[in-house]
Amino acid sequence: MDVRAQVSMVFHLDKCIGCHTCSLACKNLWTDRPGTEYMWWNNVETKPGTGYPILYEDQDQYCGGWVLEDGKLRLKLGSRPTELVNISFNPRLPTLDDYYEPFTYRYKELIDARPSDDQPVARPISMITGEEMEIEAGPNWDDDMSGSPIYAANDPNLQKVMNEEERRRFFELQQLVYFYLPRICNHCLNPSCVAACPSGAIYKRGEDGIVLVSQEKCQGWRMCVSGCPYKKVYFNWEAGKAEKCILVIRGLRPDRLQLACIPA
Amino acid sequence: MSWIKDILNPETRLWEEFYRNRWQHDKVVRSTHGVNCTGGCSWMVYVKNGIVTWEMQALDYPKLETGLPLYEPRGCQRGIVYSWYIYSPLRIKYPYLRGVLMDYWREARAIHSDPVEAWASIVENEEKRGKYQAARGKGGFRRATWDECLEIIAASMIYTAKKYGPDRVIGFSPIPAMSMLSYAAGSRFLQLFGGVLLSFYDLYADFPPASPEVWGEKTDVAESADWFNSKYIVAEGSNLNMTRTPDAHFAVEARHHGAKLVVFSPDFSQVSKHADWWIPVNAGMDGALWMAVNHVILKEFYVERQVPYFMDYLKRFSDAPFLVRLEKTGKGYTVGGFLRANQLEKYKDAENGEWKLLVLDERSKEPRMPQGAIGFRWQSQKGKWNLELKDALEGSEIDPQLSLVSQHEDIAQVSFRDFAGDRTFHRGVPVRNLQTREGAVPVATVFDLLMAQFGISRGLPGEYPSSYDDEEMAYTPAWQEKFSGVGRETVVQLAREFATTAEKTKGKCTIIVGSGVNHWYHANLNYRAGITTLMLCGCVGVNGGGLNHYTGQEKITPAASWSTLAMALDWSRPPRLMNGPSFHYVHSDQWRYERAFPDYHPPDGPFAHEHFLDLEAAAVRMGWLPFYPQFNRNPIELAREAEAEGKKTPREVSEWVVEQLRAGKIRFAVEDPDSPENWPRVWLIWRANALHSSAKGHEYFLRHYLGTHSNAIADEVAQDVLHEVQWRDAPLQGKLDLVVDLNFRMDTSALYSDIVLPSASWYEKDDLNTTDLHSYIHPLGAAVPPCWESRSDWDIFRSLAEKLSELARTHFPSPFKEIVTTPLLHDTPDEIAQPTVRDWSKGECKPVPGRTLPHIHVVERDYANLFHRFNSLGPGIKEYGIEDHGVEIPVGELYDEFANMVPAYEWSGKRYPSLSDVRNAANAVLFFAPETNGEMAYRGFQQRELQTGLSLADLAAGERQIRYSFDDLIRQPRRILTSPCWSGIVNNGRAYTGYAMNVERLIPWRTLSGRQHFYLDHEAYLAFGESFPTFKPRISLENTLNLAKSPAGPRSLVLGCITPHGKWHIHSTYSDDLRMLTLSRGVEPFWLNDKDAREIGVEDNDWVEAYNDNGVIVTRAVVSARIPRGLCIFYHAPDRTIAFPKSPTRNHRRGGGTNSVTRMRLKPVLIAGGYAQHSYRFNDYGPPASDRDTYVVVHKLEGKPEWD
Repeated sequence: MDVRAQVSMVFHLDKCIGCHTCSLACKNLWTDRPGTEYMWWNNVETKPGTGYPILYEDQDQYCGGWVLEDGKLRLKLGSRPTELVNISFNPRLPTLDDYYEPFTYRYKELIDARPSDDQPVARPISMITGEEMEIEAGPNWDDDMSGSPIYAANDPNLQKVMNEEERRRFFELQQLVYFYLPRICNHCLNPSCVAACPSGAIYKRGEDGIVLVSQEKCQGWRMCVSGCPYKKVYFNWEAGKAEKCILVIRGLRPDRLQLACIPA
Repeated sequence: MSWIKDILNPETRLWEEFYRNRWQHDKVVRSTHGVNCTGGCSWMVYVKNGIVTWEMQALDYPKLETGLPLYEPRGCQRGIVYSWYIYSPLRIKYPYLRGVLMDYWREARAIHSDPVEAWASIVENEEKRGKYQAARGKGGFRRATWDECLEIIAASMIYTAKKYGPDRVIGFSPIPAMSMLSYAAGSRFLQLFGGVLLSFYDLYADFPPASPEVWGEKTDVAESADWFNSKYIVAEGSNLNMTRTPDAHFAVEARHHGAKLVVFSPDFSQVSKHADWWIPVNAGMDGALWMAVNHVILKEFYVERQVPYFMDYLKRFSDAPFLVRLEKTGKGYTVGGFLRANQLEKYKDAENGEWKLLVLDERSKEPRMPQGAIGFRWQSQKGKWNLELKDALEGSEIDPQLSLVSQHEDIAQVSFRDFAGDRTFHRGVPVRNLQTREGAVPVATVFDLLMAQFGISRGLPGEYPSSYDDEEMAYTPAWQEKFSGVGRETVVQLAREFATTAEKTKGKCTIIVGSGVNHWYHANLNYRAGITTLMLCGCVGVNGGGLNHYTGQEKITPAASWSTLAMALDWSRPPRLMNGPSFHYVHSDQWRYERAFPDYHPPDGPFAHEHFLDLEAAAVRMGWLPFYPQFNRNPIELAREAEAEGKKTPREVSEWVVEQLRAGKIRFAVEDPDSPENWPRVWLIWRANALHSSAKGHEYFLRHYLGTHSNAIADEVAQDVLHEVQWRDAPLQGKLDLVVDLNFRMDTSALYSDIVLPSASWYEKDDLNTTDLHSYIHPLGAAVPPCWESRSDWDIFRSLAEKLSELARTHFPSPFKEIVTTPLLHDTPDEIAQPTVRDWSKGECKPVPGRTLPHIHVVERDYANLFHRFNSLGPGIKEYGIEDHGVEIPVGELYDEFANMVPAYEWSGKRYPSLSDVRNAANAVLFFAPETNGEMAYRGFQQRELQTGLSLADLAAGERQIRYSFDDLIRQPRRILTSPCWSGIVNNGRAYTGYAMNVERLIPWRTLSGRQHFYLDHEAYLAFGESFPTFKPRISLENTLNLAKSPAGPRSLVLGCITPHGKWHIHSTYSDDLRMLTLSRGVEPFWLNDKDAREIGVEDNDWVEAYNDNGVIVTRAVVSARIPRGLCIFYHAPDRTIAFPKSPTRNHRRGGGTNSVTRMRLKPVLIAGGYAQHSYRFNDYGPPASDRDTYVVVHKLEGKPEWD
């Protein structure tokens, strides 16, 4: 196809302070619905870290993106025939635990609590089951080097560039560095999610390069989720369709061309 | 990618409407968040079908001067999720009343038709009172009606006024700047009633006491755009990325523009990540590092070579050239007070001569009396209070001599204290023996004494350090290593870079500082050490320079007009305003758990009280600090009694009160605070989390104020060291009869109150907002009407006023008088009241109200018309004008002009401008403020011209026609005007920076010398050894008494516990927000170092208990290499309502929050009063409630967390 224009989003990594305002602007506008609770089309990660979903950069596990073979590109996930074999069971999919189980709290307890001999508290409950739960993961769990011995230390990138002794020294307080990586869909020039979709539901718009999942055509095979090396296509468990960053489709806001995440 | 097909058929693209349709809204309304974050960001609120859907940052701030980056984007992760609260399950939708009290009330009302009698029947019954108090915080709320709740509150207030006095009714709301009219609603109501308003800035320890010490000013700092003008930025105790989120971009842009960003922080914090140079200084020890920086600067930039810019700056803008008397001691000399002008024959007749100081003139070598000292401010002949270097008597030019080192008559061996090393040095100082009226007196300049204090020998004899590597002698780079943990080379490099940059840029070096340094007990010293660096390098009053302290949104830009409305000065004066730290320290009985302060902070000579409370009582007696309740008597009864005794004029009444005090017939309440008649009784809380995030020593609040459960186990230890104040043995639980909270969410304070009233959220009301961080004024706007049964604060207090006036028709049918005491105030002639410290109660001087003891006023109240007064702008504003920072601006005919602009409110046959509608109140603030009305600014500068004899009105001449209205602000944020009440110059888009007017226009600082002070000569400062910038280490674990009864067991660690501001909340607000909890750990966790964690077997996300004698916190651990060993971080100040389980260590009771492990400690030296810049002003002065010197034991929680 002929991409006549490509709109891109640039985050200034030296200015980013990891505040997540962009993530929240996006969340408020687009993924504040049943089925999308766990989705963060825009998220910000502390690097080193394992990210969201956990270890998404580990393509040995997820097989996202492309590989170059004999001078030709092919999906790391495999060719179309392999894909069809796995269409009902895709081992390369992150599970809810790899993202996190969305939670809320029994907030009303604070207002409605009956008289007792101690202070009431709002306990966490699952947004999926409504049951009480222990919170063990979140979409930003390793923010600002939290849990660094577990998360930052297992960043696949760090593993590649440092030997064990270098990594040990890296985690001495005065040697430490970290930075923030805001991430949305890259609206790739050659999107592997489009290539992975068995239904032809994902398309790249010629007029601006935005990659969209047609909510009419999507059959919920989730090959795009596996195919994307950034894990920026998500599965709406209620609608049964994939959704992703829409780069706040151009012309959406008549007042000015602006993404939710931009001013934030 | 030929296989990807371009989809051109529009039919297949129709589904895209699905997303487009989500982006729909009916209207967009401007508002902001009233949350004390300092952001003050303007937001656009989107409304669809009458429901607030989301909010986005406003993008239309007026530009500043060319070259400065734009202010936007402004708005952070917390602000952008605010709309969640409006419809959340935490929202207070209706009035709530705790069931126990509701039952008692309805029962009593069935018997008593008079609500006041009904209230009496409950609170005078000990059993009932105890029962509903014990139920506080333990559920059992029931929905009630507005009318019932208002009736209880009004009845309790009237009951309290009759029985004990109106000064037993207190109110707390912080940070007016975040929503000025909402604050003013409650404060206006309380002041019309005669209630007590408690301060917040010092309670939060956000107020930097070094600021009044050095500058005579609460806080006056640059807006964040001015960081861009800086070439060297040191950020310490201020995690810009985390806490100045919308401003942080200016720091990065300054870096891109060539500035160096240096960060001091014990942990590898978020701003450290952005630094060019991260210096991991030990927590709370920043002062030691700065002391050594000053050592290097003095040696290399003042001795080895001189920098003309620095020398000139010190001569003109600091007290460095002023003369200090040296007092003979056994072994040599010690420093004394400033030499006063009237001690010389030549100046003996000078008016206020003991409040004028002297320098030596370089040319004549003779002493001269420069203009600008505080004596000139309050003398009858105006026009000499300025910084022109002229002798005030002769008018001759003065070139002040900084040092006598090359022309001394003598070398005096002067003693200097080293508190960290607990020793005294004797160091040679060059002196002149000056002929005074009492004979020859050895004097030295502040500059020479400073050289000696910092250990710069200049070849003089004495115990001076040998080199930078001298580890024993204060204050060398080597000496500071053991405190700060920072290497000497680092300090030397920092000093050289800082001073060299300042030399090349003429002062464009700044220190950005905040609570991380300010919350310590010795905060004033930590600050003064850094301020000294800034002064030595000529950085204060310069764009891109100065001390930029940001902690709390304290700047009420239109303060002069606002305070008239807020304190009801248009109807009666003076208001009852009290420093929160003293109030809570005394009334919540935290003093009972504290030993003698000389244990950790020994004074010399006078002030050797053993317990702070004795000193507090002395400070109140001498008029230094306010205290309410005032006396052990009802002030209404006192006024009645005085009248019965035939005392008619206010003066006669005041003298009669003094006589009663002297005879011991009445006593100050502070002298017996635990006696029931001296307890506070009714507490109104609004816009605050007063019982939790604002409650340093929260567990003591629960016990002594509320009478409910508490996790404190500390022993009472004060009785043996208390000498003057009455000790009472009785268990003191539950002093408060009624606690009322106005809130939009069920936070800790609401949960523990008796009555919760639903208040409008920030998108449901109109209000005004300003901040230190930018120079705009902008609104909160009602995007939707108050939801459910909520009402705006303005309307709630109007309803309450109406109910109170209704009940008053029976109980206080006509106006009556009462006695109000107030302390000696800054920016009034009171600040030259006490040249020496004399306690009248000990016969050291005569008791004279307003001189040696508090002012005693007679004030008229009119409860029956309180509602009418609230609603109308009274005649006081026309009569007295408005005032701030000592600038009194006449209002005159502008009152009538305003009356024509707004509807009239008529009562008792008179018409007044109506304030019923909050927008009119907002317009009154804007109309009379010099920052938003050019004519008022012009008039203010004219007043300043009279005071100073300088030409100043040109600063406002071009803007006289400007009048901002509320509607203007709704359209776009407006930039404030250059104001005589502030010290920045903002004409033509120039960035605001503090003290520009002092440096450029020669207006004095509001201090003793009129200059910036290195040296403080109040007797308290001499006694505590804080006359010079010095260093005192953190309070030791032993002296905190934190762990006297909380021993560390096996597999546990004792850690210093610091509580910096967090990423996912603003204080406690947003800490319960689902989005914030989702992006963090689902609970506010406890951060500790990975190696420390391993030592006690704690892994990431394990449950831990952190406890000390004050209380306990139970939460999850975050294990991180980012945190240094020996320290833990529990970010301030999540509510204790979300996901916190019970504590096995403390009786299986619910664990608490940040303030559960704190107990406040007040620093004695900071009580000084009636003495130039050491004079009280509400929120602007007094000992902050420090809590940072806190230690906890941490261990892993065994087994599963207990919830119920």
